[in-house]
Amino acid sequence: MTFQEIIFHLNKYWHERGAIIVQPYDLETGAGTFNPATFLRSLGPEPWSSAYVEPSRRPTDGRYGENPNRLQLFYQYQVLIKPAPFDIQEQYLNSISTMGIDFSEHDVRFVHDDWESPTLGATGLGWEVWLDGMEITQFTYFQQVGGIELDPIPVELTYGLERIAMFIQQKENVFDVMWNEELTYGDIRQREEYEFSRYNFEVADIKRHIMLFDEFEKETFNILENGLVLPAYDMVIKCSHIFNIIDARGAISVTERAYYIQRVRNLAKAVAKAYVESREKLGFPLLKKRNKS
Amino acid sequence: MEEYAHLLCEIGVEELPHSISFRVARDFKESFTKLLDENRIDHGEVRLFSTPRRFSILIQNVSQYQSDYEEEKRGPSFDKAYSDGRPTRALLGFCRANGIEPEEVVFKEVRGSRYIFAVKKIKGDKTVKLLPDILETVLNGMRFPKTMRWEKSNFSFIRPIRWILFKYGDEVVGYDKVGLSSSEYTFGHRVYSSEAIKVENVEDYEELLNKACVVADRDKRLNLIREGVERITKELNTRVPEGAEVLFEVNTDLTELPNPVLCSFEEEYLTLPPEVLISEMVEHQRYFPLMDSEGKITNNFIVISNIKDNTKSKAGFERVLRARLNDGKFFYEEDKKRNFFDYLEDLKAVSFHPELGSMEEKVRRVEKISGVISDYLKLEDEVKRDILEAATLCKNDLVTQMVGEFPNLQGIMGYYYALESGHGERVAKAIKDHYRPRFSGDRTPEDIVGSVVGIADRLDSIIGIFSTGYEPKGSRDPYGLRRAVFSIIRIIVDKKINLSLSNLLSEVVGIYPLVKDKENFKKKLEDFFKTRIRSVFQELGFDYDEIDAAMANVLDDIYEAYRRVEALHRFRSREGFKDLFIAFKRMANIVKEGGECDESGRVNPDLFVQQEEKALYNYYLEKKSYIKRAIDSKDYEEVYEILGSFKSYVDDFFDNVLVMEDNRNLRCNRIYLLREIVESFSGIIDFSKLVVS
Repeated sequence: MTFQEIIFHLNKYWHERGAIIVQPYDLETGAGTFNPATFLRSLGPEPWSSAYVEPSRRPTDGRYGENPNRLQLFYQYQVLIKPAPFDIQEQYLNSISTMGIDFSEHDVRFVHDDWESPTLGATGLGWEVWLDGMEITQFTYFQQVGGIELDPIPVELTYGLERIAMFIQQKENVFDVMWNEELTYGDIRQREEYEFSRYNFEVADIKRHIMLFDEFEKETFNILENGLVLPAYDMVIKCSHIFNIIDARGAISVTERAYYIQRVRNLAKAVAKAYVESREKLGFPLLKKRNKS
Repeated sequence: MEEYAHLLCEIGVEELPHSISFRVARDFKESFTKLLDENRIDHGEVRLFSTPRRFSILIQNVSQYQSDYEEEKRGPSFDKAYSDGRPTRALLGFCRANGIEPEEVVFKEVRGSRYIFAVKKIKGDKTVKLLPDILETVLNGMRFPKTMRWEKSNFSFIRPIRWILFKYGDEVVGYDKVGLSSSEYTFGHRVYSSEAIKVENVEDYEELLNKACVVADRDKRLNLIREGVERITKELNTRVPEGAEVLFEVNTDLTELPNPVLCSFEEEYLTLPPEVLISEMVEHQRYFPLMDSEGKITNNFIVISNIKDNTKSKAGFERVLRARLNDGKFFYEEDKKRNFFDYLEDLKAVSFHPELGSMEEKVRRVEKISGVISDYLKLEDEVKRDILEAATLCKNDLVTQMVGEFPNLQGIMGYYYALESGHGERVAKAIKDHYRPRFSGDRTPEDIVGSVVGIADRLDSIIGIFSTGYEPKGSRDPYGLRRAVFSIIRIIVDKKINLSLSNLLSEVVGIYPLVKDKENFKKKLEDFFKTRIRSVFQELGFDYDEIDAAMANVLDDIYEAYRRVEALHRFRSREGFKDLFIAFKRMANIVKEGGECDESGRVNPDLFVQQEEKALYNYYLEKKSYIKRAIDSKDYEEVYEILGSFKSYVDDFFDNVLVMEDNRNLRCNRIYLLREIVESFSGIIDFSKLVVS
């Protein structure tokens, strides 16, 4: 299976189980969780089921394209289903075994790992899924998002696409993964890893980013004050990414770091609250949709 | 139906966190059994099963009925129940309320008075009717470090419950909370048994699971792992290193069908420090490292798999480890290309605290404090040189790639890199050791070099953070300042370090630029230390009054204060000392009250009237110089031995002499006597602070 076939497979698999296949968000996100299809849709009583690829940026993990296992940008395959189905573990395992992975030959394990995103004010309980000792998925029952207790509880599945591809194709170096029959992951992305590593670690202007953070933070509140939620959430994503770059530049101390995280969290919380209120005003439309069907 | 039947209750869950799954199972068993007992349901042996995906109990011979019992209710007192031998209204009312006739009441004595009692025989209920409530109470009453919700009713539990097998004899016990209904079905191993398994006869439960590839008995799994690992280690003439022992239980709680698989990695990775290899295998992958007979790590390791056929998975287990070791090796080689000393320059770019500057600035302060301590301890030049060298290098590994990647190797990598760059073993070891003790049961640094740097490093954090105006309050202590004091004291006590913290603070607070009012700042710090030292001493097992009585001037010498408290603690439990301390506390109290006597008054032997006061005085005179000598030489053992020898004299004195005599001269002379004795022990113990009963 090539890298893109894995994506096709998962799209088809979750499409058949009723998920909306949404597209990657058009802003720099740190994880699939940041996509509004997860962060915002997990809030409130409306049912939701979506699946998508999310390019996820982790500036501090960049290694100039030289490390066989580390990337400053990688692809998550993200599934969010609310409420969490009773047989979600089986559904998940089935999504893996239908890629041709035989669990009587490969040891699959759910290893305790509770998830927390301090910037999103989000927590969940769950596992790392290990396949022959390698973590391939984060499996989480969200409990809180944007500081809001969730009800009903969504489940989030975050597949590490590169790792799954390395496993299936038996590659020791991510850049050797076959993207399609012809080109490798390295052909497509290695230069990008180098340039962004240099930018994130060496070139990004610290002062300008600190200023940008302040500006986007102000803009979040400006938008919220004007009664809009979705554009305000974009600003939260921007702040989070800018913070990640400031962090990668090693420009802040441990305490300052905590302070920045707190600022992003405060924005996320304000937006989460406004989002639930706005959906309520609309009468939680997806709730009615389900009742009709 | 027979009178007894077996009961089986299995809670099927999505994988429990391995660190507490067994505790969860045990709690379940205990509280279930306790509730049966409380409900007077007779039962036999209780067996517990525990795997990552289930916990269950099989209880032999559970009675079909609760045992009958009598309920007693107390009514009015006998006097109020009858008037002229006839039932009063109070008695009649009581009988009516309890549905009995006045003739049926019984009389019982309660604290000397007779009362009326109604005794009701209550017939035991059917067990099967009570079981759902019992399970409900058990599940609701279980406590976990963290809980989650996952279904409609928002029930909170440690992980989602996915099935409940609840069967009593041939009957399924109905239970349909937590988003599902109980049944007589269980589930086997995920891979080898996909269909639900009907448990016809509850006694076959373990065997049915065995057939479905689940070893439900935890001890049996643990043994399978132990035997499997032992078989391999014997064959290879290797052993599992000490720190990896914990993996036996960890893997027991991570598998339902454990299978040891022998794997290996390429020999080239053996050039990595053993700590790196072990940390990768044990902490991250839960693999068993293997050591040869000489204690060297080998390139073999054991993985506990959860499936039978591992011909293909073996390569996967190895690949994961190889990827991590490859990272490690790359960083290790890169880091060694530079002289270890040169990393100090990089510390300038790492912030310690926004108001306290960089890590490099911190290191400079640690050097300075280390130097001052070395001088106080009058250490040899050679040792002091090592201390200063270690202080300079102690944080350098934080900016190496290896520690950046594997933060738990801080200190350890410093050790290897320092040796690599030609620094001495003692210096290298101190770099590693200065973080000790890292947790409460941890060892302190091996020698004085690491100890001094360790104290200086923590002292700098405490003084520095304090100088920013921050004080730990309540349970909030993000900088770990309390832990830091604890560690300092552990080192001082372990290494028998005599050090005046008070003088040390005076000498070093000047190097903190944020400190404006030195005296005031020092006082605040000292108060913090005193409070913290008290609670550390309490953590070490001493009573608060012992600490108060013996920790005078603690900041002049923490170690001596510790020894005084320790000696007091030890002697206090000795035969006869309890009474002795009561007597001395009485003396101290009398002296404190003063009795309207002259504060500088001295004993006049001519004023003694009674034999016992003379005897006490003479004995005191005889011992006075010995007490002083013992105190001066800090021989607290001897001080308390002497104190103990006062017993008969003190007892005789208090038995026969009235101190608070009307005659002022006689009275004050006695008080002067007591004062001299009590004061001769001052600095060792303040008797008035002891709490005696």
